[in-house]
Amino acid sequence: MGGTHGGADLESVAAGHSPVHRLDPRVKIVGLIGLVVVAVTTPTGAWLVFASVLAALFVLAAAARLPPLHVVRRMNVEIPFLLAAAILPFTAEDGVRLAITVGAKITIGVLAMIILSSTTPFPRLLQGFAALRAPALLLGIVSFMWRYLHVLADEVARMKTAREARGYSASWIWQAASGGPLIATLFLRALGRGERVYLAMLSRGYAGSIPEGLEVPLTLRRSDVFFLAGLAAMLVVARVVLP
Amino acid sequence: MHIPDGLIYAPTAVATGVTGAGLVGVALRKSRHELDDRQIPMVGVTAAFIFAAQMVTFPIAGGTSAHLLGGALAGILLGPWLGALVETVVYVVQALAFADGGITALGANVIMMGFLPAVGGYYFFRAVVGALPRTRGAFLGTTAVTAWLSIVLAALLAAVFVVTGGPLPVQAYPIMVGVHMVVGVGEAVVTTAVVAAVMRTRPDLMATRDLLPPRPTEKGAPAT
Repeated sequence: MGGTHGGADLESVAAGHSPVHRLDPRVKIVGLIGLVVVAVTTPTGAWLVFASVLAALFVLAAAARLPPLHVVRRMNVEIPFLLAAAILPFTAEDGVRLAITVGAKITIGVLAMIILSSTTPFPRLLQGFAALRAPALLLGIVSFMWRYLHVLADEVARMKTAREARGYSASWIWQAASGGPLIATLFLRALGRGERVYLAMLSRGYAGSIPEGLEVPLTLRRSDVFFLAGLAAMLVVARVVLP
Repeated sequence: MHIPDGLIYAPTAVATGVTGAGLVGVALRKSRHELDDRQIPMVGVTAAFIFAAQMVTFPIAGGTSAHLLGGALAGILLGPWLGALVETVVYVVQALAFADGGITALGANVIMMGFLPAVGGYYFFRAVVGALPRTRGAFLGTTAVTAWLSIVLAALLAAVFVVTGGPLPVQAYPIMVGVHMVVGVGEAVVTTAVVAAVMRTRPDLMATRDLLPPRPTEKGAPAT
């Protein structure tokens, strides 16, 4: 069994303070997704483009003062795909160049999204997407999913405690059969609690969105404009001049 | 199974991106009237549950990683379009917040791991259950088969994307499909366990409630 994503760790890093954390979520979303699109559409073997995009990401990560270990640990989602790319030299024409190109694109995509999510708390990210006119129904599902993930994690912890109190030990293989009912019970308990949470939200004035005045409004500052303009200029230069 | 940036060619990314966006548009239009107040907790909990289930991944030799999908579960519990939207949300958040699956491969991921199992799974499920006698065994048996098929077919489509629309060699087919025939058993067990629990306690919240077997009623009790 492989790794998990480590959500709690992510939330504490995203709540940090740095010039990158302070940027408006909208410019980070647009800027970093734009950067990934530019990298993905870059032709095979355009090493200078990949190098300059990676350099820009390193500068951002450093400016955000992200703990290197946090970044490296989260980058392990790409390991299976790098292994897949590593067989290309044996199977494709001009495979070495192709493999390095694919590896560079995967790394750029993963690093960009790590920087976005590690410097923007989840509610701010949602606010940014709402301001960018993402469909309200999708945002509603996202916000409830995020809320209920914590409910779910909490229920798991409670059920684990209860199960251990009844003599369960993960090391006894014959107790594994209790896994199926456990998952079903977890779902029902989370559903029951989710309904109570939702009623509590309704009673506190929730009507499809957070009541006005409770969220810090989004404002484009000069640093946001500089960031986006600088990144766009760098991407245009890299994509048009360097290949 | 999440395809990262760069593992499909740019034209594939554009084609799947446009198709995926169109499908999401259709799903949004179809579910606008479906989502009522009572359903919101069910949608949120299902999304959170699928998100959490997908966090447990198994690395596969020669390529990618395997995990549960939950698409058939979402389709059977929430209906095809709302189910597909829940899956879409899971993949968008995974791509943005966890760098799992590429931003430019989002269309491909949403089509194969969201719409295929949720919409395809839902209609397959409806067709089969409709043809069978209305019993608990038929309902849950079809659930298990739908879950298994949905993940195997999704793996097949993933292989089409990375081989035909990307740089990987044809050996990806047997690896992806073979591994997911095994993972599919886990998918079937979990999906069936959850569907069985919901149909026992909260059948009123299920999108497929019209297909449920009649509940055993106590003798003499007025039918409700």
